[in-house]
Amino acid sequence: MTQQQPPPPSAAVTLESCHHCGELVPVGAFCGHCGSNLVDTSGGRSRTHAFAAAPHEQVARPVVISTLFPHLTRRHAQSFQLVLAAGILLVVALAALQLVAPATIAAAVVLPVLYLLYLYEVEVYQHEPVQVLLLTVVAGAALGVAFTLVTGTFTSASLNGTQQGVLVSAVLIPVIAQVLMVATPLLLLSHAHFDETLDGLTFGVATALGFTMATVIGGNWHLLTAPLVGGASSEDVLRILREGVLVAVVNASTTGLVTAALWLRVRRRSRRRFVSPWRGLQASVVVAFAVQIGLGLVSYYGRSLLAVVVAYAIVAPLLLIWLRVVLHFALLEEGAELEIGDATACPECHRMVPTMVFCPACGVARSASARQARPELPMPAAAEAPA
Amino acid sequence: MVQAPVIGFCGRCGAPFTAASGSFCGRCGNPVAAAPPVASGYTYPVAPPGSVPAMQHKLSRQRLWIFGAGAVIALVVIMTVVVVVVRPLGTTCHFSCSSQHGPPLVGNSLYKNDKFGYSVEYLAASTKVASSDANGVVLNVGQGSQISFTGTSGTDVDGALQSAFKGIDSNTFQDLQPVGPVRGAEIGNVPAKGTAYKGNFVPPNGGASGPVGAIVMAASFNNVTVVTVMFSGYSTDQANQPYGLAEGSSLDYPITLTHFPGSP
Repeated sequence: MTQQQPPPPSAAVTLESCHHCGELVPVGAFCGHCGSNLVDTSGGRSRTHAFAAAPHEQVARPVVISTLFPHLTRRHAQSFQLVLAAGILLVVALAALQLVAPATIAAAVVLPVLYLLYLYEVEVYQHEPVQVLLLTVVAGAALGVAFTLVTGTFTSASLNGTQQGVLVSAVLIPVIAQVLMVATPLLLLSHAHFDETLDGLTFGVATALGFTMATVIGGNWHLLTAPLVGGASSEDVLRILREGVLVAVVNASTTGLVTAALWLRVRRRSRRRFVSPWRGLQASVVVAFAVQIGLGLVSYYGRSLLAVVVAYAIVAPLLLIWLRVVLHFALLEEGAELEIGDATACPECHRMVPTMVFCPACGVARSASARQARPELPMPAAAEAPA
Repeated sequence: MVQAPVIGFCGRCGAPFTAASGSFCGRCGNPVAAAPPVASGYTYPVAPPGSVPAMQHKLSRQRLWIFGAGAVIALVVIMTVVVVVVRPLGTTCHFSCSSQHGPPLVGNSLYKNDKFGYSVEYLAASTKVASSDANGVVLNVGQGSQISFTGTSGTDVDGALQSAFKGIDSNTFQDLQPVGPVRGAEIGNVPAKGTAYKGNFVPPNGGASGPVGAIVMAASFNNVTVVTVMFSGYSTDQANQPYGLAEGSSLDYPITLTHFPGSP
């Protein structure tokens, strides 16, 4: 098969001055330097109509794949979305066939398996897959097992449900779980290669999914070892979907929120254009723990499983949107000195555009594409010189 | 000293600028204030998919489906096999096996049912009457376990078991799955039939849910059927806690000391 050749780059790039950052940048719908919308001169600086990792989507849109799997291109994201939908259908089908144990297992592993495939596809781990997987998915699963064993030991002996009280059940246990999910990605924080906000997000999400998988399986062990075919009710389906999907999305979002904000803060890639205390590290930590405690309180005081599931179903999309807001502005924040590189194909829209921090045509952040597929930015002369 | 309001920041060096700063950044000279019209009429050619590095997926759509579905199905099958293999088969020991804690010696109390003539002995120190009516009694045992005794006339043990199981509050005791029959079941000295269950306990007044073990047993003697329903926190220590009832030994006491009317 003959490799198709890209069209030759244009001889000269027409420049215009961005009315948001003031830089001379290639003409286009978006500023290649700051990512602002150049078409809408009124409110285009924050371009909330075009999520920086997936410009075809609005920021305020609760989409699991483009939020938790941001390195995927639009076309590939659709495939992952279909596989995820098929996985959820499989869970419902197994539950409908009265196969409670297989349905619970399927619910627990669908998202982690999909995330492992995502990590393999986009190679976030670069040249160190073993280290990254050990410190994220595997460590998360191990901590989840330990967490389940420890909490299960001192919560299973009582039937009256009030032995631990609201402070332990709804506050302490969710907080400990969240701390454990954030803990191991921190070991990758100082790694020189993993310096982007989306690296932090990916490591946090991977750890949270491993942790949740282990806690779902461990927490339901007494049901898994019941007879294989049992009378599964609608409550079983609700419980399985809550634990396998909704809890996983919530845990992934809260953990990704904290780790992404942490990466942006510590790795100092911010250009400080959109600094806001509402999207900073402290705010992200507060939001993450508040959500975990809030849902812990709902689970503690909730009179019915349906009410708890509804609460999760409301919170999960809101949390996804909040995470997208933080990611969106983090991607707009990240960047380097103004450099305009050679024309290369944009990973998202496939147009031959000058290589910059943002695609001038579709506005996708360069750091939101897979590393191996992303064109290299030209290095500033000062950065090439040894310190 | 009153400072002019900041109206923006230089995109190059980040220095704030005000309306009085002019058209250029005071620090680096970058033009900042002007808002020129956006150029139009530009075009960027679309590269053919084969030449775009991002289109060179390690996982094509087909491979994604194969690996994704294959991995999920393989994990479900393997883990299902594992949980089936490690599933506790129940103990060969009688449910009323002697307690590890030794026989209680003091503090017995007696519940006497006048309608059907059966009676239940229990330890007042660790067991309290939660409620009672003409047909039976509910006892709170130990650290949160519960057992109920209900009498009916007749010999329909199976019917009593079914109605007792249906009477369990499914909001409080969710996902009850049968573990298996209670081998060698007895109520008092009367042979009984019974089934053990596992499920989730959701406190009706709020609180942390948790795994629970349950047993429903019934026996009939002298035209009186007594059915017992007991719940206790679930324990994985199958060797010492038959059928996973964490306080099985304490529950066993009133069952063993149940007296049917006319029984020896």
